Amino acid sequence: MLADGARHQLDPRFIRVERIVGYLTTATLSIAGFVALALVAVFAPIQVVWLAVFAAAWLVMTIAFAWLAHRWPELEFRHAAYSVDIQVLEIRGGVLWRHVRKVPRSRVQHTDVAQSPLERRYGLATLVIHTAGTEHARVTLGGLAHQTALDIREHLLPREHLDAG
Amino acid sequence: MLADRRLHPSAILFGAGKHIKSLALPLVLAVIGMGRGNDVWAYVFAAVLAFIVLHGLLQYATFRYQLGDGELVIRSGIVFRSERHVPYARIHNFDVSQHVIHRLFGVVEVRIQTGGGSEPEGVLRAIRTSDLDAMRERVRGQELPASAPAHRDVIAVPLRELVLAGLVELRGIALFAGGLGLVWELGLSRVSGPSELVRGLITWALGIDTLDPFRIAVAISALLVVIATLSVAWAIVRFYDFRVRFDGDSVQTVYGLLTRITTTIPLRRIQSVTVAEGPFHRSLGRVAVDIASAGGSGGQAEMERARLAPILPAAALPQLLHDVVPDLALDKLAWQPLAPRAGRRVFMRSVLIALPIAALSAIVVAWWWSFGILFALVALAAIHARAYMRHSRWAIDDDAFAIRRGWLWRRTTLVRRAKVQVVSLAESPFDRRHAMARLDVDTAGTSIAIPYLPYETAAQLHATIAVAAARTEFRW
Repeated sequence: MLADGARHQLDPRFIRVERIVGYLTTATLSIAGFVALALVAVFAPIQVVWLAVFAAAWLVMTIAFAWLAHRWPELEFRHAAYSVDIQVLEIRGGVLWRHVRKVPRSRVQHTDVAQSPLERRYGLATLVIHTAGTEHARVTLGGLAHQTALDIREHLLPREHLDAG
Repeated sequence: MLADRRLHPSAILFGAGKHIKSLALPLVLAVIGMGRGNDVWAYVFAAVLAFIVLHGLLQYATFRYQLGDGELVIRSGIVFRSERHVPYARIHNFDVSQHVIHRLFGVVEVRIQTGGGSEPEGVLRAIRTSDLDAMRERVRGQELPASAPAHRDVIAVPLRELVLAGLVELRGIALFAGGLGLVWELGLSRVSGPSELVRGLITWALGIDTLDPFRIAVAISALLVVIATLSVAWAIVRFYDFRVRFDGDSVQTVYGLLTRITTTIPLRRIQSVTVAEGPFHRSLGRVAVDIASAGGSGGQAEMERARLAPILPAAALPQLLHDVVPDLALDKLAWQPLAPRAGRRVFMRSVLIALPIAALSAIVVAWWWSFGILFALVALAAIHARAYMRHSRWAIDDDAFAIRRGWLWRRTTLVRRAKVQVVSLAESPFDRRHAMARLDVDTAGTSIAIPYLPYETAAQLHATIAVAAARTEFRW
C-alpha cells in the first residue's frame, strides 16, 4: 500500500549514499587544503609558528568536515519523509531550515526517475516531479528505493480523464 | 489542401539584424581592427557578414507556415528540418510587435507562446498585416463564445498620465547611470565637445575647492531635471498611446512609440495580478498593475510579466480588476494580519543589520557619532517594523488567495486558487522558536510567500490550499 497517506521514511541506504558523497567531498577539500599548505611551506617565506597554526586549522577543518559528513545524513534522514494519498504528494525535508512541500496530483506535468552512479550501486533513485510552477517547477524526492520511486511515479501518472485539457 | 505561407522577404533583413546584434562585439572589434589598418580584420568582417546574409537567406527560403484547421504548423530548418504543430487552443499568449522598420515594410513580428519554458514556441519574424488578421481570426475562433461582448477599450492612458508615470517610476536614474557608464567606457570624457562642457559644468558646480551651497543646489537641481526628463522620455517611448481592450474573452494591450507592441492574453490564462504602488504613486492617487499569464515566464518570472496598466487612477482599479478577473470577489476578501509577535522579529532583523553598519561607521567618524547613528538606525528599524506590520495582510476565499506586503513600496498580489501549483510550508530555526512559518504558494508565472504566519494558521492554509488544488483540474 503506497497511496495510504501515511508518513513514510526514506530508504535507510540513503544515509550510506549521502555519507559516501560527504566523505568524497571532505577528502577533496582536505587534499586541496593540504596541497595549498605544502606549497606555502615550500615556497612562501613564513615563520614556522604560522605554518603550525595553518596546519592545525587544516586538521581541525578536516575533522569537522568528516564529522559533519558522517553525522549530517543521519539528521537529514530523521527529518525527511514523504506521504502519498489519492490527492497530494507531500515531501518533508531540511534539518535547520525545514520545509513541507505539497504537490497536488492534478498539477503533475511529468515525472522522471533519475539514478546517479552511486544511487544505482545501492539500488536507490531520485523522483523528479515537474509542475507548471515557477519556483517549484521541479520538485525532487531523493533517497527512495528504485522500485518505490517507480511505484510512486506510476501512481502520479495523469489519469485518462485529466488528459483532456 | 492548405496553402503554405512564407514570411515577408523583409524577414531576411530582420533575421540578419538579430544576428548582427548577437555578434555586435566581434563586429565592433573587427571595425576597430580595420581602423588600425589591419587587413585580417577586414576579411573576418566580410566573412561574418557573408555568413549572416547567407544564413538569413537560407532561413527565409526554408521557412513555411500553415494556418491549419485546428493548429498552426511551422516548418523550418536548413540542415535539421523541424516541423512544429501548435494547436490554437494551446496558445496562451499571442504577441505582436512592430517597430519603425517593420512599419516601413508593412509587416509585424508575431511570437506565440503555449506555456512551459521561457522561449516562445513560434516566432514569425515578419508577416504581412493582412496575414496577421487571418491568423488572429483562427486563434480566436477557438475560444470566442457566441455571446462574447464586442471590442471595447477600457483604458487609454493619456500623455499627461504617462508624464506622471515617468516621474513616479524614475527609470531615468538607471538610464542616466547607464549613459554615464557608456560615456566613460567609450572614453568620450576625454574628447572635447559637449562632454567637455558637461565636465566643465560639473567641476564648476561642485567647485571642489569651495563648497558653495548655491552651486551645490544648482548641480543637484540640474541632475534632478536631467533624471526627470529621461524618466518621462522613457515612459513616453515605452508606453505611448497605451490601450487596454477586451476582445471577447481575452485582454489586449497595445503600446509603444517606436516599437508598437500588441499583447493578447486570454482572461482564463491569467494566473495572478499584482498591484504596485510606491510613495509617489500614493501621493498622486495612482497605481500600476501587472499580470502574469501562464508559462511565458520560465525562470525569470518577474521580468516577463505583462504590464496591464503603467499608471492608473486608484479609483479605476476595482473596475479593471473586475474586468480582468471577474471570478474573484476582491472587495469581499477578509484581510488578516501576520502573527502578533512578528513585528518584534522584523525589528530584530533590522537591528542586526544596523549593528555592523554603526560599528563600521566608527572607522569614518568619531565613536560617539557612531552611537548617534546606531540610535537613529534603531529608531528607523522600529518605525519600519510597525509600518510593515500595519500594512502586511493576507486573505483567502474559495477562489482567490491574496497577499499585501511592504509599506513604502506596497505590492498586492492576487492569485487564482485554481492556478495554484505547489504549496510549501517553510520553517527557519527562528520560525521554530516563535512557532511561526512561511507559506509559499507557487503558480505559473509568480510565486508568492507569506512570512511570519502563526504556525497553526500556516499549516491549516497549507493543507486547505493543496487539497482544493488537487480537486480541480489545472488548465493553463
